[in-house]
This record gives sequence, C-alpha cells and structure tokens, in this order.
Amino acid sequence: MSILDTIQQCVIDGDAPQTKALVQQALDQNTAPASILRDALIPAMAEVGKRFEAGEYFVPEMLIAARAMKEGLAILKPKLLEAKVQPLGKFVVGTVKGDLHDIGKNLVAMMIEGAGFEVVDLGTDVAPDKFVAAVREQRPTIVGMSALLTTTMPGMKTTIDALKAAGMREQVKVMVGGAPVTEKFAAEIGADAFAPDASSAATRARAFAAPSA
Amino acid sequence: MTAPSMNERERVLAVLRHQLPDRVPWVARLELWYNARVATGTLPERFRGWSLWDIDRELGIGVRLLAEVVKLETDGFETRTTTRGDETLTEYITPIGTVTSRQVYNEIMRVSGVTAPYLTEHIIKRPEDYDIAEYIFEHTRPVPCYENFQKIADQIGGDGFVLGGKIECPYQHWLLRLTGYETAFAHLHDCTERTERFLRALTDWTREVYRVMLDSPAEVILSGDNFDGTITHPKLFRRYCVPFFQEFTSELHKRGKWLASHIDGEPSPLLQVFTESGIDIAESFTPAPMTRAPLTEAQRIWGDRMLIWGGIPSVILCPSTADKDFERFADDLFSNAVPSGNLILGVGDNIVADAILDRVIRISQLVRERGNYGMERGQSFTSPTPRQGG
Repeated sequence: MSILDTIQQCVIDGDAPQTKALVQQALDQNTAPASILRDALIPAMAEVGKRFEAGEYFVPEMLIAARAMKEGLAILKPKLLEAKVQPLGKFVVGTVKGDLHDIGKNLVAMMIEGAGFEVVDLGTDVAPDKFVAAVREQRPTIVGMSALLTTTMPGMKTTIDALKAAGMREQVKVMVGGAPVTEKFAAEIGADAFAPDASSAATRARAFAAPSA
Repeated sequence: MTAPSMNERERVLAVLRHQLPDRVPWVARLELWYNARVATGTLPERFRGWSLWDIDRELGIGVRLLAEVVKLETDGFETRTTTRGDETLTEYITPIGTVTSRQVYNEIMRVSGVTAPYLTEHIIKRPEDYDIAEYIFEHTRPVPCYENFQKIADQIGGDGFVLGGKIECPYQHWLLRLTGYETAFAHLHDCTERTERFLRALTDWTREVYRVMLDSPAEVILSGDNFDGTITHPKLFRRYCVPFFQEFTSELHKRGKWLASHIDGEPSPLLQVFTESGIDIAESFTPAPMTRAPLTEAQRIWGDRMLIWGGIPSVILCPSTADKDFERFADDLFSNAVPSGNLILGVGDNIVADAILDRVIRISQLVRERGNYGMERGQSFTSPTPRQGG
C-alpha cells in the first residue's frame, strides 16, 4: 500500500493523529502537496460520502473522518499555497438570518472542504447583506444557505433577491438545505441546488465546479 | 361517518390498547403557532383572548400536552447565571471544578413561537469535565411532582391527552444536552472507556428519574429523545439505547403503561432497530418530504409493534407547500396511511408559526369525513390484542 493509500485509509477510519503524521511523512518524502490532496484526502472524503449515501456511514463517522482530513489539511495548506495549488472552488456558507441551528451547516462545510473547496464559513444568523458582501469580497463559486425554522426559510429567498439586486446572482451558484427545505421550495425561490444532506451537498458542489476544474 | 362515539382521549387509549376507535385520533401540538401569534399580535381576530386549548378545541384538534412529573433538587454545588442580551451563561460551581454552558434566545425564536433556548456551548468540552458532570448528577435528586400532571389532565378531560415526562434517555441526554455532537463523537472515538464510564453513571442517575416517572399517574411516558437516525445510527442505538429502553419498558409494561419516544429527526435508518427497544410510540414521527421516510413504509415495517404519533410533516401546512401539493398529501394520507391503522394523527413536530390555519381545519374536516381508522384491516380488531403496555 502506498503512503497515499494509507493516508486515504486513515481518513476513512477517522485516525487523525496517524493522518497528520503520514501527511508530514509524505511531504518529507517530497510527495507533491497537490498529489496528497487530490490522490489521498479528497478521494478519502469522497469515499466517506459514498458510504454515507449507501447507509454504511452516518454522521458520527463523517465527523470523525472530516476531523482527520482537517488535521492532514492543516499541515498541507501552507505547502499548497507555496505550490500555488488552486482549490476546486470557493464555498461561502452560513445559516440564514435569525437561525442559530448550525449542525447541518457545519457538516456541509466539512464535506465540501473535503471535496477540495476552500470554505468561508460566515457562521449563524447571517443577514442577506452579509451574504452579498461575502460574495463581493470572496468571489465564491457557490453560496450555501441553511435553515431549520420555517420562519427563517424565507431568508433564503431574501438573500437570493439581494444577490440579484446587487447584480451578483449570475456570478454564483446558490445551494440551500435544512430540515424544512424541499427540492420544490429550492426551485421556487430560484436556488440552483437543494442538498438534503452534507454528502449530497459535496456531490452537487463538485458538479458545479466541474466545468472549470 | 356516524356521530362520534368517543372523545379524543378515549380514541388515543383505544389505539394504545389495540382496539378500534370510532375514527383516527387527531392530536397535534399547536403551541408554536399559538405562541408565535401571541408574540407578534397576529392571532386571528376571532381567536383574540382565547387560550391555546380553546383554539385546539375550536379547530377540532385534540390537545397534546406534556406535563413534567419529576423535579430536580440539588445540593453541594452552586449554579450562577448571567444574561447579556440574547445570551445566558450558566456556571456550575462544584468543589471539584466549574463547568459552563451558554444558550441563546433571540427575537426570531420568540416570534417563531419557540420557547426553549438554543444551546451554543455545552457543559462538557473536555474529557476532564466528565468528573464534574458526574459530581453534579450525584448531587441532583429527582423527586415526584405529580400534582401538576393531575391538574392538567383534569383540565383537558376527554379533549386530548397528557403525557408525563422529564428527560430523554441517557445517551441522547449526553449527546444533545451535555456534550453536543462534535465533541461527543470525538470523545467516544478518542476516549471510549472514560466516555462509556460516564454514560454508565448517567444511566444510573437517569434510572432514578425514570423510576419517579414510572410511579407517576401518567399512562404514557414521553422520553424526549429527539432521535435522528443519521446521527444516532442503528449500531449506536443498539449499543447505548436499546438496553436502557428494554429495562425501562419492561417495568412500564408491567404496570400497563406505554413509552413514547420523541422521534422528529430522520427516522429511516432506525425503522428496523426501534422494534428491539420496547418503545411503544414513535412520537412526532415526521415523514417525507421533511425526512426520507414514507409514512406507509414505517407502518409496514412496524406493523402492530409500534404506534406512530404524527405523520404530517409541518412544512405541508406552510406556504412553502403549494395548495395542490397539500391536497395531494392529504388525499394520500387519508387513502393509505389512516386506513392502515397504528396511527395517532399529529404534526411532526409542531404546527409551526407560519402554518396556514385553513389547512389545519381541512385536516380536521378530513378526519371527520375520512378518518376511518384501521378499516383496511379493521376485522383484526374484532379480537383486540393489547399492546405490550396495555
């Protein structure tokens, strides 16, 4: 088994200390940072997503794997910057205005980071103008919005409208999710995608980034 | 249909005892809608000054209430709370150390009818905190408070059903209230022995709480578990929840009582494993489109072994669902799920702030007109078999 395969397996198993050590070892052996990312960390999280969709992995395993991936990525990041390795895209995410429920949003952020995106997490209770400002400043590929309350869900449409008003709607894909959000609602408010869970969010994000990847 | 021959409480009890009610029980929680309308001054004109229960009755909904039958008395540690703006910091100061939690209650929550604050910081952050948490439990004593239950039950009478409760099962209490998902699963992975030792201590304490609930006048005990099968998946449920529920429900069933578990998250992965637990009722069961679980699929898997209380996802009643989609859902509900039985019709988990009241009224109308409960297999009710608890 190559060191990249071993790193991949360590992430899948959620072994954070070993992932960290092996990423360092791979760098010491002059493995290209881009290769560690693309041939070990990203495929590992893709496999985690696949297992989630197959009902073999659940949120706990996903969280533990994502933690291992993050540990490895933390070591890798400076080297990726040095090597000018570009992320697959940029993903800005937050829960909509008034909504503090961040469990789903955090999972989505982890899985999308694991798919090779740079993630800008705006946190909870994010007002439309803050999303607009983030799109203006960060120029993301995708904006993700999450809501748990039916009373905060309209904030998704308000944010999309604010992006339109700022002339930025065409620059970015909008993805929405959360317990009360349905595919139909997503379509009605003019979102580009609905993600019922974190793994689907990563799959859809990859699809959006595919043309320029 | 003929004139009703039972009240809502009798219908619920009939279903619990595996007998045929005159129609499907329709018992839903309206408090989020009501609290929100009161908070925002948008209660419809005709309901101004009305109580929640009066509105329930007017709309043809059975009142569903939870009465706490246990109170907790503490000694040996100090609890200090400080509120700044929307955030409240609670410090638990014990002789062996201090743990803290933070919760937020904001304006959006208030106008949404939400009464419980949202925990943003849990008391257990590091494995070392388990010692302090154990100390807190050792110095917290559950004592009965049954008077409140009886008072509420007397007030509701036959117009609804009162559940007795206090807390969730030990595992869910640890996961949701004490530790939070990310820390909890990290601890379970990294320091399994210490975490499981804490769970055993918590189970011993919870057993005392449940014992007080067992002795209460409540016929149905609600365990406020908030299960979601993508988080507490079958393996975790089997290992950490099934033994506790089996132990408790065997005691409960001996007394002719039932256990309801609050299952308002994604139930799909747990449909099979729930039947191993002894839980009698999947309360606040929320089907598709809010989860992946079709109601009839849960009915098929559970058969007579578990009763569903719920079945209407809250979003179906909201403006985000088109009228024609609501009607399609309602028609399917009354054509397929209601006739299949094993159902107390309710909303998972609440009729929310922006629910369209006409749709609630429409459900009540359909309950009267098409609530022919269990008729698809109604003949099986000629020799009623009591459920485990009955």
